[in-house]
Amino acid sequence: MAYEHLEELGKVVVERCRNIDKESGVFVSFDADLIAEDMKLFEEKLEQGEELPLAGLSFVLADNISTAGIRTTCGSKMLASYQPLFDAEAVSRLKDNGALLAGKTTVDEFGFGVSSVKSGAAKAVSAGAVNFALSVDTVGELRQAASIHGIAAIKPTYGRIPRKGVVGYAASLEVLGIMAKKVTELAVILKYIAGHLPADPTSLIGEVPDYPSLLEEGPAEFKIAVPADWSEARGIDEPTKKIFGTQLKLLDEYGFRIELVPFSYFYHSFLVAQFISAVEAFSDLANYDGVRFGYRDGAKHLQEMFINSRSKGMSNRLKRFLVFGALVSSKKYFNRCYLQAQKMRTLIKEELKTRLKKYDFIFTPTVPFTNAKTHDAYHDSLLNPASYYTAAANLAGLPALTIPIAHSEVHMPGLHFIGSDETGLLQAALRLEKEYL
Amino acid sequence: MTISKEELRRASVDARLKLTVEEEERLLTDVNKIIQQAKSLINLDLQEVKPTFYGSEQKNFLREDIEGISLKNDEALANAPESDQFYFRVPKIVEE
Repeated sequence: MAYEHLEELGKVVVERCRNIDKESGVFVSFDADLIAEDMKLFEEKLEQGEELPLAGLSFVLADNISTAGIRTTCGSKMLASYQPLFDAEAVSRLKDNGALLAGKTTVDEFGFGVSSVKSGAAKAVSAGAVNFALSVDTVGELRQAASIHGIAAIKPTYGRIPRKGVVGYAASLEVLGIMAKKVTELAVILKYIAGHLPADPTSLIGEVPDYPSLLEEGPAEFKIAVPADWSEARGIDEPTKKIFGTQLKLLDEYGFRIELVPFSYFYHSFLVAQFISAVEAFSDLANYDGVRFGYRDGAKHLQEMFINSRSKGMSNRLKRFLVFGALVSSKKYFNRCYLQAQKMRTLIKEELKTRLKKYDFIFTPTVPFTNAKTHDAYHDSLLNPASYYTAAANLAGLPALTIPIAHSEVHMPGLHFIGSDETGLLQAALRLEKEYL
Repeated sequence: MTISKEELRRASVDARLKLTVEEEERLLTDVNKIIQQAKSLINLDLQEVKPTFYGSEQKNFLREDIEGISLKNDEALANAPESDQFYFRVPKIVEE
């Protein structure tokens, strides 16, 4: 697109965003004037000869990703008026390359779990209001939201995209991920936001591959391991079994050599992630106490203020999760539950890595349900099996990707691949997208 | 292994949270269901297995010890519910 059209494009983005917001309440922060200003700025930069490879692309951010001077509520009363002082690193990188931030979207409180209603980022992309979105994936929320709304998403390797500016709840599991309609868009955006940041010691050191230029490469055939007991997933419904069973047969025609392979530990992953994320959340969210930022409730003394502020600033659902985390990390249950879960994490990680030496990917449905309503019904419970297939990749720090099945009669959970690196995942997904979906 | 209401109450104190009676009941049911479901995990003999605490295998590193610009006073206080010129203000620390 010629850059003199950027201002016009900004107006189109505004209109599309307003439409989807009216239809299903997507935005927490949206400022049409800011969009116009940013587009003008990009035009000026281009006129001065600056290179902005992402100019013309627009995106939204889940509201648990920091934006300087723009409210970052994390979907919580606790941070209803919180304004970060800096942009998340990934956001800076996108803006520096000319991508337009259209707004901040609804998110479940602190990104814990995903409901169809509050997955605003996925809704905005699915409706075509913007080209892509960034969201946080801790036990699979990003991939599940993409699956519910029929779009693609990549959860990169742990540390591939710097976490600076992510307001997370479980530091050892969470990564920033990308949602888009097309695999090529995932590859392009990943190229620009991946890469080490010295200020973030958990970000990976090393060269970032030029993902878009590698997309067409890859082996003629991919070897795929499907966990033999995939259909025994907790909460799995009949349509998922039927549709995924059919996909297994169809994929073979497109150069995906599928084998059912026994897994011993994979099936523990969603409970293991539940224990670990609860303990980390108990610790990571301890600083929301009404002292330095966020909601404060009245009290006679400091301890009472901590308790009142947290109890009134957080939802019942989150509170139950944090108390569960406190319980599991208490002396009596630390070894039996938390440490045991961390040991099982080792076994899950080793199992996945062993399988990925022999196979290119591990392939499952993204979620065990075909219906967004089932998702929402489980959402309020601590026993939510939505992350049955997704949590293992977070525990092992491995990259994973979901792509939707088109032309499906019912709302189909996406197809989910866990791999060794992003390049392979994107290559396989592109092949599926081109030849089959 | 069954979790008692008393144990949940102690955990609530640790988390600096107050749960309503209904929430406490609900959590008690949920937690005991989780423990029940995780029974086969909890009972496994994993004595020889090392835990994994971190997301990546990358070794930690130290940055160069160079002075840089830190947060300005007004920036640090910008989101505070209550502050004066230089400090966060909080209620009395000692209970009367």
